[in-house]
Amino acid sequence: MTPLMNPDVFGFLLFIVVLAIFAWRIAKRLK
Amino acid sequence: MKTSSSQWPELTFRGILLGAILTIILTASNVYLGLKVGLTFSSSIPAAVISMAVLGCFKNSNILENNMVQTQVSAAGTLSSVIFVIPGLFIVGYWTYFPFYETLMICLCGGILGVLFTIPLRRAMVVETKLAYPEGRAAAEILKIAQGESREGVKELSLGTILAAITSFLTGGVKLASDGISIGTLIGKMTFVLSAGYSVALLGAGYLVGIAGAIALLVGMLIAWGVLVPYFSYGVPIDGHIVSTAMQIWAQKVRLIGTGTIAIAAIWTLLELSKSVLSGILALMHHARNRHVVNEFNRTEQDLSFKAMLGIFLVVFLVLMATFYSFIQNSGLGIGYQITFTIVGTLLVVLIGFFVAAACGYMAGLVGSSSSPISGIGLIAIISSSLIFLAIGHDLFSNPTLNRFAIALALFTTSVILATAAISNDNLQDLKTGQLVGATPWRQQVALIIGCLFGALAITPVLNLLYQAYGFVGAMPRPDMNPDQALAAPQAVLMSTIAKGIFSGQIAWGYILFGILIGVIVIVIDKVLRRHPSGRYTLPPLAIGIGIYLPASVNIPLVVGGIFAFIIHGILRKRYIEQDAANTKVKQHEQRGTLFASGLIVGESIIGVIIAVLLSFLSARVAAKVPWQ
Repeated sequence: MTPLMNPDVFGFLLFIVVLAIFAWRIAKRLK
Repeated sequence: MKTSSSQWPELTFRGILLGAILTIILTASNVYLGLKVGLTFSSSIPAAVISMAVLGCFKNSNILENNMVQTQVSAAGTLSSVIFVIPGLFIVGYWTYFPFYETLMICLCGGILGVLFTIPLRRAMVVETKLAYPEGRAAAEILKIAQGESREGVKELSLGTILAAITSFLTGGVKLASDGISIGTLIGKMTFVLSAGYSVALLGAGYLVGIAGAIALLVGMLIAWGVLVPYFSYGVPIDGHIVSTAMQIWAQKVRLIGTGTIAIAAIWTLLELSKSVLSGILALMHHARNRHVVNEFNRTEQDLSFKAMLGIFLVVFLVLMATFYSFIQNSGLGIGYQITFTIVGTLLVVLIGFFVAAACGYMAGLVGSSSSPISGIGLIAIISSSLIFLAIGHDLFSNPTLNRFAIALALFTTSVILATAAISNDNLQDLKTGQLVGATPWRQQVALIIGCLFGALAITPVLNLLYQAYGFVGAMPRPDMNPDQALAAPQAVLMSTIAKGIFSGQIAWGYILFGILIGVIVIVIDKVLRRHPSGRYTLPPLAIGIGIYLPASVNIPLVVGGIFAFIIHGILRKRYIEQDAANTKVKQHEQRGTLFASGLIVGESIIGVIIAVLLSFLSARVAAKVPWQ
């Protein structure tokens, strides 16, 4: 079983990914 | 920017009809989830999204009409919080079937009182404060986008929605990912538990709540899990798993401490706001005398008239008395006591109801509806009503039958108060949305009352259906049923236990008093911090209480969201520090964040509804074989 198949690890990674995308969308240069 | 027009129709027949249909679906889902796992979700956002999709098919629909549908449906969805108490009447054995009239009236009268009580609070808590109201703002952003006002925002909102939908489908739907994790360890003889929750909707709400609320929640959580749980766990034998032992200690002791803190912080917050609330009431009375000045300028300032409020209040008061009498008349008490308890019960609902309505409205603004500890407010209500009934009928309640009646009466009173609390919590959130989109407050208040009616009509049959299909833990409708499938109704179990404890003289007052002491200390610290010349430092005492009371898995994503907002806004301010119009640019970035955060709340709410509807549908198929009692 890879760590990704562990629901605890996968859930945490999903949260971090969403947080990272959140940061990117806010900080993206203004047009 | 002008977002409204006095020409647009707000309350329409098709809107009310659509609202009624959505009410039945969302209320059923909320009742099911609440009984099963003790959680309910805010239905205003899913309602806004569905309403826009449906009314969008009509050429002449507008943002204010959508707002009314959202207002009506969210009131109904919120009303399902009564399930935090009503099953208690079965658990203590006073009810064995659902009396339709009484259940309906608990929801309807409690709900309408919630609407009425928050009208004088609107000015103080919505217009004149900087409270966050995360869900209210999110709903307004969605409605504005449908209106085509900020097209460029669609991208951020949609991206947030899609990401949240994917994550909540993976966690709540197919369960490939967990929605949180708890790790426990023993240090010395004390248990330390670290929990994290992965709800991205709460992350979004935390972003909207901001840093002050987040730090207060964090402090509350550290008091609970860093100090109180380890202290109470000292030397306690581990029964099974470390985490479950710690959770038990938290649920039985620390939550009571949190209730004490919430109670004192709520009273204090209301005292601080009382001047504003009083001026709200005076303004309403003033409007009642000067009704002839009506124009577009003050349309968005008009609440339900004082006369209308008084009329509705009197009707509700009389109906409530009749309902109390109907509940009490089979108790076996003499007529004198029956009348006394009827009057006292009704007065308690009105007086405690007004207090909790104000507290709940404020909490909606402070930390958002989804994170408001409505059940904590229920605990305050059950404790105060039990104590008052005990004081009146002290000699009577040594008789076991009357003792059970007294517990049931306290639960009954609490259920009406809880309906009031839940509706006021949602109501101010809706009025915030209305303020942002330019709605007419009195029309929204009418929509809220209509919502209470439909909600009450939906909750009663759904509750009966679920009770007949599954039963409640400790109260099965038929002897041949599987107790493993019984609905846990965790809050109702807790409230019944506390009421029983008070009437048998076996309740641990120490915990609640200790919570009050913590509250007083925090109030003093907050006062000192506010004196700082920069005016930037606060530690909201109510948020500390909420931090102690809520599970860490709910606190963590809220705290992360608040701290995240603080850090990223700080970085952006540095980026533009040497440029002109730096503030405007940072505001533009913040606006994007608000939209994305709103998207996160939307996505998770909608998937939550879909999952709940699917589960309720499955349960309804089981229940279809069972006759109505």
